[in-house]
Amino acid sequence: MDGDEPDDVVLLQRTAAGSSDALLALHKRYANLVYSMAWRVLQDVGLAEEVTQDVFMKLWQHGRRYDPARGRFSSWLLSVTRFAAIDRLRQEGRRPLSAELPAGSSDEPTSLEGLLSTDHASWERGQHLRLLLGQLPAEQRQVVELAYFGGLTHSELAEQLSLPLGTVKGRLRLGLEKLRGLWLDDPASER
Amino acid sequence: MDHEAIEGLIPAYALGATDPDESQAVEAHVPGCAACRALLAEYRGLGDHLLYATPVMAAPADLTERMRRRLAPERRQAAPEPWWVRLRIRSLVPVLGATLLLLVLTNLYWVSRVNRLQQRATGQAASLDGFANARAIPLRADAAGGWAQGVVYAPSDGQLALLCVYGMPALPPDKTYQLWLLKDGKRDNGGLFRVSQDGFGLLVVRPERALSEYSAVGITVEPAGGSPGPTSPRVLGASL
Repeated sequence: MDGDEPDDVVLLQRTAAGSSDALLALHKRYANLVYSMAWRVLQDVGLAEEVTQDVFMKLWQHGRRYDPARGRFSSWLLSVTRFAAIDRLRQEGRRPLSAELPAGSSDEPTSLEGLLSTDHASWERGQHLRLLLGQLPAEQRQVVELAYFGGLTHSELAEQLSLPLGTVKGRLRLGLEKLRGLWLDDPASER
Repeated sequence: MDHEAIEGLIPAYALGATDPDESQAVEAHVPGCAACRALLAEYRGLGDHLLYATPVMAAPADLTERMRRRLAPERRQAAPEPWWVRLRIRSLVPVLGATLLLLVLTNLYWVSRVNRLQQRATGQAASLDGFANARAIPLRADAAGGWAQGVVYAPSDGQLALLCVYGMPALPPDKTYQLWLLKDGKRDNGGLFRVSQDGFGLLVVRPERALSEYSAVGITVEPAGGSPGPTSPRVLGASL
């Protein structure tokens, strides 16, 4: 982000004051990030576009609700997007998918330039975690991804995967514990 | 559920993957366990990093322009904004809450007169006198709560409380919001309420015990008529 550009809080304040230019500046800054999360959950281009636009319309209508004391704006925006996309998934009656483009896939852009104007450090840490997620046993990775990106609870995981509840709980717990261990042990992860 | 069992649920809880009864157990245990609070903070941090663990995708090139066009009629219709939107103060809660409280107290005076007549007949006593010095407890939206906010006004005598919420999505006719009061891992029903299309809602809370006996409050979405226990994730809540 250019040092002369207003920061997120300033743009949010202007948005809350009725400046559509400020909202559009935020849209330009974060549309790819929001769209990436929406697509990951929905895995449908049309629905991901709709959810992306809906998130920014909510920002236009209720942006004052963000409290900087609660953390980085991009994290808050992505969290809201994740839940909006999960809600949309349920409204559409669709089942969440655990499969996604594997890290380093040839279908995935390899350069962030032009795609992300801010938060590169957070993105890089997230992508590193994504690589670590790939090191989990397949059945553990599956439940972790379905729980997080699909919004499924233990019971819902058991139903979708036709597995006993205890099996699902064990896989999710072991998967997350292993992921945490890999993350804590990896010198590349910045904490 | 013992400490070890709760500890095992914390990773899933941090990701929002626990079932309602499991979430209740974690929420009852964590406030009193420093080790579990620390573990929960670690897994929440992991969850924060997962927000960025998606494939990087380019949104359609014309998406911002489409947003501009979508905003154009909104911009024309936006003025004038309600006065409480134009207020440029860091927290709207005390100002809006005080205004709502003043408005509601006037109406509640008459409600209380009827209540006193009823309660005299049943032998119970209630008073709204304590609201003048009520403690305002802001509610925070959980991840599932999105844009919602709220306040609980708790007078010192603890017999009644007033819940004010705003920014809550209106529900279909077969659903309702239900307030829960948490004590020792158990939840008492605090009442049912609906919100207007603008997302505003009010509830006069008549707890089974003194409000000071409860450790937390929470709001969930339940079937119309309420539930004996929460069946969905908490949308708003606070420690008391």
